[in-house]
Amino acid sequence: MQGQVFSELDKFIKPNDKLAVAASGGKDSTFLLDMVHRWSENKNLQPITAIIIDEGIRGYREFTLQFLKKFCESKEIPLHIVSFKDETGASLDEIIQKRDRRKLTETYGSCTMCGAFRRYLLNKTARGLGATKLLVGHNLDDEVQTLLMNLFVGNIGQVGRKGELAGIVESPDFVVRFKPLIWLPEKAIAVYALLNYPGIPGNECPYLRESLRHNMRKMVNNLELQWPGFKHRVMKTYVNKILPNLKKMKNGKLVKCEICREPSSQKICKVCELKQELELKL
Amino acid sequence: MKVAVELEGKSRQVEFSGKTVKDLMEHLDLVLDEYIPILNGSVVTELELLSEGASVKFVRVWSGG
Repeated sequence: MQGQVFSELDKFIKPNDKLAVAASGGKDSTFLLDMVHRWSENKNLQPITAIIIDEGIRGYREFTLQFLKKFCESKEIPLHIVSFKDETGASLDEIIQKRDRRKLTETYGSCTMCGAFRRYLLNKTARGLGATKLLVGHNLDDEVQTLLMNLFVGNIGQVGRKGELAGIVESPDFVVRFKPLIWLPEKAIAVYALLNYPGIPGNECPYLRESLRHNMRKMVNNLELQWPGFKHRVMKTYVNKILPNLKKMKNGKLVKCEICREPSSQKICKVCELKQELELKL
Repeated sequence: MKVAVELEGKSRQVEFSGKTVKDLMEHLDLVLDEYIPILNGSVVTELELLSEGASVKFVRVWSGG
């Protein structure tokens, strides 16, 4: 597994890259952080930094944050903690309560809102740190689930933005996201984490079960059971055949959000849209 | 054969026809990619052979990166 990750890092990381790693204290990002740290030790690169977005999900995030702090201390990796509360005036729990009070539950899924804020804050923080690449720990299972979810809901624009280097447009405001783990199955990473990271929290996000992803995960795992190798075949076909053709067709562009001036595909970015709808701090 | 199984915090004796961890997982209706088998304290693959009286714990592959 280490070999697989090192091979991806060798392929995509340039000598002048400054790397930030999106971490959460979960199994995938801890494994990623560990691998990147080991790989970079003998390279002439600027020191890596870790970024965690603290959504303030009670009964969940405080445990993984605690684990991550200890992990980073043990490896002497600087850790930047960015909180939803500081950015929006509310934790995700509070944002979800506001959403429900305004009867917008059908419009804004919990995971959709969380994802929008997290990506926004990760990009902004990574850019502020001068990072040239933001490494994220999405594994093979995550990517196959996401691909199929986007296809099922007709989100073709998103389908063209995945792969090892995510995103479709180069922009100084947007830190390229790199995913070195997309060829590794989730179970393999879980086994590695169980064996090598004692005390790693095994609790799951309480909002997980209300998501489409939860059902998609079960479906994809059952397909893998029926057709072993299914996940790898989907990913291989996507990266080698579908993605190159979609990237040729791309005509997306990034603009600056009219409110916050962060990169956005719309006039008003998703985060500002949510902040306005839910009366959060702008 | 009869083995001791620990799953989702509960322990019980399970009798099944089969030889491997995979056979046991099929008997318990567990999806391969969703559980990590631990046989007598060590992580094993689903191809591992079981013997009468073995003790198998299944740890769920938890979400959250």
